[in-house]
Amino acid sequence: MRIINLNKSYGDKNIFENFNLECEKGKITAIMGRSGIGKTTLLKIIAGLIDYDGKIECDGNISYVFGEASLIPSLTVKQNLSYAVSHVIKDKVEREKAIIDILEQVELKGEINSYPQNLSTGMAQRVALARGFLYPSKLLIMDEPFRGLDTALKSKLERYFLKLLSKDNKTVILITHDLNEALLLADRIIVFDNRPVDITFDEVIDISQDERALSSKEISSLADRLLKILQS
Amino acid sequence: MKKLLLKLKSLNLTNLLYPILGVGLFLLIWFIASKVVDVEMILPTPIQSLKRLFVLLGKEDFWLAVGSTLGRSLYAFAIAVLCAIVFAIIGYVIPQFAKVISPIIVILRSVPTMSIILLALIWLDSNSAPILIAFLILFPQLYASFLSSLNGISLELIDMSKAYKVPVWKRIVGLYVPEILPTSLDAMKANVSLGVKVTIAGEVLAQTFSSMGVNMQISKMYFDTAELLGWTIMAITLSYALEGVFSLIKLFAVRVKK
Repeated sequence: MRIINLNKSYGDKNIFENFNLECEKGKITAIMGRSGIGKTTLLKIIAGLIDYDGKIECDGNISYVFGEASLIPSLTVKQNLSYAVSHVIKDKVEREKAIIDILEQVELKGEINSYPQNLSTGMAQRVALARGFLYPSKLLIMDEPFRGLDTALKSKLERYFLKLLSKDNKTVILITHDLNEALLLADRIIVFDNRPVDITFDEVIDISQDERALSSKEISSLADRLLKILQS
Repeated sequence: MKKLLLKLKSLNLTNLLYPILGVGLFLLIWFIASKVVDVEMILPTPIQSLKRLFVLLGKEDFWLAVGSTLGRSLYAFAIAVLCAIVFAIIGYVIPQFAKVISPIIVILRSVPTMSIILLALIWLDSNSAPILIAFLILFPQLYASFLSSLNGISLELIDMSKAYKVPVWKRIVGLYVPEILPTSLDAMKANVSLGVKVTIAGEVLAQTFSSMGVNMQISKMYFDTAELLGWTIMAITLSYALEGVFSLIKLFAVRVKK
């Protein structure tokens, strides 16, 4: 996924000016930075939700996991998943099998006929995650998908995310404000700052997610440097 | 008593019990007031009014009048709903259009009902005037409600649909319609009975032949208060029945999530 000479402004606010970014295939890139800097705007530009000048090169479809679960209240879990994919997985039998399969992976097969209002926040976010992986795409963009969840639930959802990702090698762009989340999940962490947006920190983590520990020397050193940048 | 209440609750009849109690209380107040006044011509008892209504029920003219008023109010309501849907969709898709017609809607909502009635009587014949009157009263209410329902759809759900490239027809069927249906049906339910009231008011002033309005006016001319109240009970029943139809539609159309 490549962004070439991106320009975007809102009135006299210049958000992106000749902005370039390349995300390696099959890797997780975490984007951090203060609120309102332009992280969500970038995701919306990539998803084609807002107009921009410049070029975005991306193979195939894009899955989008929002901060809120974004499930249609009048549709069941199955119908919500079907709503997003029925135009790409046209065969009904194949689609139903794929839905059951993905719900099994996030341990929500029993809730297939439940309505969103009967799901807990964590369950709803798991359905949103399942939708992101069910949709046939090469790029998955996630806008603070674990926001507002307690630590235990967040850690559980992160495990589901890594489990799904291990079976479907998508390129991921993850926006987060949580330092630990970025350190444990990302293969590369970048920080946005200034206006127009600059990348003020860009580092690759060469340790697989399974072997990572926040207490390890490399990760804690990276955390210190990242914290300094974010606090400045 | 407690056992009976529990049984009623389990049968979901308690929901009916409270409105029945309300009607009973209203009839009791009416009965006491009529006994205090003690002049049938000014305020007959509920029994006298109901008796007169039952006499009316046996007459063919009564049903012709009810049918023609119902037809007029439903016709006006249907046109108002159709126009409100079309205008609300255009206003939602093209916000500039909503801004342009916003002052017209405000004017229509603020013009006194009597001005609309009198103007309609100048412009149209006695059959069509009540329809225009009801339309002009209902349209701005329905338009505002439909537009507000459309604008109330979660932007994140719309973004989600666009991000997953859900086809437009599927967005309409799967997102827009189910999202606006409950509030739109509530607005239609409230306005369908308003339509009956306004149509009758228009008929009274337009002297529409063979209508509930004109029959009420005749009852008033002859100081036949019992018959006037009989017609009024019929108008209330009609409004209540129409509201009931929309409640049933809502019950079937909007999925019950348990």
